Amino acid sequence: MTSSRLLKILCTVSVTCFMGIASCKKNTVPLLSPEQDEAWTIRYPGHFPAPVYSFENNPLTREGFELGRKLFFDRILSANNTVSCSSCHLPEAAFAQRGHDLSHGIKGNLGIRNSQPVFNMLWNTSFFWDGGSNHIEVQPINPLTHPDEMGNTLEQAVKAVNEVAAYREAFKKVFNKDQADTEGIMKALAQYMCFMISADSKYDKIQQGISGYQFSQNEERGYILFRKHCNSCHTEPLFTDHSFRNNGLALLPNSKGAIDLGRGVITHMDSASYYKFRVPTLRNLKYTPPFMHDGRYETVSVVLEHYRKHVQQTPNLDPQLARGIPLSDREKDDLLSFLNTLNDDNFVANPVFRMP
Amino acid sequence: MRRHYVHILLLLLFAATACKKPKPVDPLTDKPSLVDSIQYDGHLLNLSIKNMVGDREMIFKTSLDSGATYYNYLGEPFQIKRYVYYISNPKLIGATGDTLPLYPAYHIVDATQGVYNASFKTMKGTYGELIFSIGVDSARNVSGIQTGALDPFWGLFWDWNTGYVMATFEGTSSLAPYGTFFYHIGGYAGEYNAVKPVSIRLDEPFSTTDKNIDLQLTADALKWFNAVHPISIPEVNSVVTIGPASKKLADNYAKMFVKYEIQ
Repeated sequence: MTSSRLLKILCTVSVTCFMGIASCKKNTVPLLSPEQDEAWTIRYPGHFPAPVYSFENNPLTREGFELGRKLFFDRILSANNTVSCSSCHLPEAAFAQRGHDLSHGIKGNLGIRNSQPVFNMLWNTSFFWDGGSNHIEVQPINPLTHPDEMGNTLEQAVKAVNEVAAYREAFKKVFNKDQADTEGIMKALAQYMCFMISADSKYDKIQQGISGYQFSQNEERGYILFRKHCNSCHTEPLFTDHSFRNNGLALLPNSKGAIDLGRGVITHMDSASYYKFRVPTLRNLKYTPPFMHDGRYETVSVVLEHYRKHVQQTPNLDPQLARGIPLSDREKDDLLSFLNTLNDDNFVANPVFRMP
Repeated sequence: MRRHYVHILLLLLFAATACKKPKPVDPLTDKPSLVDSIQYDGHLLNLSIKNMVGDREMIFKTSLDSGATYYNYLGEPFQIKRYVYYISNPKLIGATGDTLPLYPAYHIVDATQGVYNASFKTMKGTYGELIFSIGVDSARNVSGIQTGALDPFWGLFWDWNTGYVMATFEGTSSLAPYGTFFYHIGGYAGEYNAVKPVSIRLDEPFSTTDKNIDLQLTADALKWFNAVHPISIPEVNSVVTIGPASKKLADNYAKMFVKYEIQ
């Protein structure tokens, strides 16, 4: 089957899927910018799967989203009013922190892992590099209370929020609560984070069959290589299968001098989980260097060099990487070209997600 | 043309199936739908829980008090600084085996606060058994942010490996390498599940038809050390993750409710 034939079929299927989904009230394409979205509903294109997070117990509203956005950028959530969620998750870096292998938390403390981008959280089955958090609504408790991140207690954070009259009013309006509490803060943050959907890259436009968009020849070749070598872990369309894998990084001591067990920190009784990390998405790589759980690789090109020539035979190495990924120089260039089609400039530039 | 028919058929099929939302399943509301049909028309069950150490009062070591020294079954001395656990989903079992769920469903028993008291509405009837769990059921561990006794605010929640700390026992001992011991027991599923069922079977059934019932339970902290598995403080003094040690301690604390009195 030629690739153009394949694409045609893919388009047909995705358009058909889209029609099916569009006949429901929600989930319609094309993607509107949130300002245009009067109803303030979640929208994602038809080639995306059904979300994992449901707003069933946290009805999405514009006010709820705005409250979450305000909290995300507010330093009062940290112990000494110096850091916010956005200190390590910057909008201009697709909500990661560009140029930092590790991020500084409160008092300049360094953590042990690279800050991850925040988008398409709606589909995440677990959170953090080790997947230790099982739900978007409880995920923020960790950075908020971690001594190397925001260093706070929930008690202090709730108190600080309640000292601000505008917050108290917002919590009344959104959740009908007289005061902010843990539940309200976490649900507002979940509304904000889950609304941040990045699905408007060139790749997405092509998947939706939007006219005027098609892969160049090198992107097309890169896509074929991607499907052959990468898609089994970085599975379309989210470009992660949410699994934990050891991709053959050298086992180097981290910032605290220890070898990071990754998933093994969580399931430490299971040695088969050691040195495995959550497969990260490949969307928006332009904005999110450096890469890997400890930010050891500066560029996407370096990452591909790793897969070509530097995969280490460490315990629990993913069998698919036993011999690395053989790529010629030209193939590497093609793959890089394809990966560039996954950058969603509209998402990153969207003022709706930025600091209020 | 034929191809188009196929497409239209496919399209209709998708349109027809895409709107079939899965039935909203919410096993998590404090009052599941069946409760709406229950009439809590009986008198109150006033439950109280008193934590003891063997047959001695539990006295805490604090900044103002050196506490009391207790000895486990091996004669190892220790003092207590913190003793707190969840109990959840209490139910009364009637004479005919019918089950009455009691609300609120989740409680933090913090022994530093003295005797724990909770009152439950009941249905008129005769009951011979009270059941509940030590810990928090798995559903509440995997469903996002919770409120009330389950608010992570109370500090019985692991944020790095999501889940509730079912029970915490902390103190000091001259035999522990750093002078302290910490038992933070979590795990809501699988081999190391720390949620433990408790059954209080009464010698005589009671009736809630005519009067309130006061039921006082006594929990014995010494059970942590030897109810099922022997635990020696010099060997096991820092348990803050899920694994064989937490399982042993959970098996032990499952037996801590040793006595009841009813009035």
